[in-house]
Amino acid sequence: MSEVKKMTIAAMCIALSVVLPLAFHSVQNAAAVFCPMHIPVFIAGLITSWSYGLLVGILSPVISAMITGMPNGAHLAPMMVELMAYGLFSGLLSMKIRTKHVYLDLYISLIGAMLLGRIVAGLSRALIFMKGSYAIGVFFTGYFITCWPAILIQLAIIPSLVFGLERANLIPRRYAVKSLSS
Amino acid sequence: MESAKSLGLPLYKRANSLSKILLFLLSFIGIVMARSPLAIFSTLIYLSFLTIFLHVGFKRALISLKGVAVFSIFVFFMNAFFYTRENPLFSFWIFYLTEEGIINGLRFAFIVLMLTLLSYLTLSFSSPEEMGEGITHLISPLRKLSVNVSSVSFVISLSFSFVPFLIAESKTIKRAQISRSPKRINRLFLVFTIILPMFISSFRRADELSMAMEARGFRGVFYRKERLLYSSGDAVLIGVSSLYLMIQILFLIMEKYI
Repeated sequence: MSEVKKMTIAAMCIALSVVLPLAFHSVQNAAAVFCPMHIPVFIAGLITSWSYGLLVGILSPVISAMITGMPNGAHLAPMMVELMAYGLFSGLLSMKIRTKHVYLDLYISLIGAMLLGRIVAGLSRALIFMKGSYAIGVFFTGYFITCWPAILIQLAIIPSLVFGLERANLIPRRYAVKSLSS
Repeated sequence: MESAKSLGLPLYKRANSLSKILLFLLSFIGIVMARSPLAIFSTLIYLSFLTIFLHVGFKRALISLKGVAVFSIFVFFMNAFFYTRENPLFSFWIFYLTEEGIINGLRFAFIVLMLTLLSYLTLSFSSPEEMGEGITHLISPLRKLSVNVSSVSFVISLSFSFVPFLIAESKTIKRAQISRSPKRINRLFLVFTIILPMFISSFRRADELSMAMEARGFRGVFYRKERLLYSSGDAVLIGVSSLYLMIQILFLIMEKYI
């Protein structure tokens, strides 16, 4: 994928992470439960590279806060760290994992990024943002129990979306298509 | 240096993009730091001053808060009833109304409202392009750490220009989905039905745009940094926001040590 296309996709993912939560805010508490801002960040990491995933992760909450006022001040910095880790790890894992099965690659990268991102976010809260008042129970409740609908939706949507974009030739395929003659 | 072009404009319109983004950032940090009643009161005075200074008008400023009013009330009640279970004023089933929860809820609801107002005030006197340019100037020292600042600034300015397109696209898709359904669709279900078409149309747009740029010879290696012109407007914006931030830091220190 060319550098220009990567930059354009990264910009589009940032814009999506501003607009998607706006749609979810029309339903009471839906944005907090379904975490719509995570989806474009994972997609940016999976289809561009770790550096653009990282960039999308850092900039998405900042630009969203500037345009819509959400996430608010108390949540902005922890969210930046969390999304940055998601973008970084999804990009790195997507680059390294090659099983010759697109769906398997995507699921391993996605699940790995979700777990590593949550660990980084939990550590950042425990060591920096909520030093001394952050317990392991709060971590599991916040990152796995409250947002279980978001985890299910991300696992259902993201790999299919990336696969669909490949099929529609909007992004390059991970593996070359076998020709009929061979 | 006062540019000839800016003479005759209101003071706040003479300011450059860097000062506008600095006003936003410094005010943002200040609002987040507001904890004590005195700090909250000073924030209210500061934002009222900005509303008058930027010629926005109190009526328009209050209308901008309408969208987050319900969310703020929700934030307040969540904090008031679930913040802690110690020393409840009133308790029923899983609900524990506490004094600490009420204070915390009021603080968070206030922060949500004030940050929304700040975003509205910032966007009322600066265009998204100006904000993108401001961020580019702000991050330009990162070039010394081998960060490709030109790519980052390109991504930022492009993302700002994509937002209105995506908002229009989401409205179109939403209307299309409603018209396809004979029954009244659940609001949450409607939100989910727009995700997939939105991603496909936005990626198609990104693909077309990148192809058009490459066809015109753009390879993403450029650096464009316009020289900033400083005027009295910049001094006022940076001065006022710095003063506000210093007052907030002072209140925070007073609360902690006195």
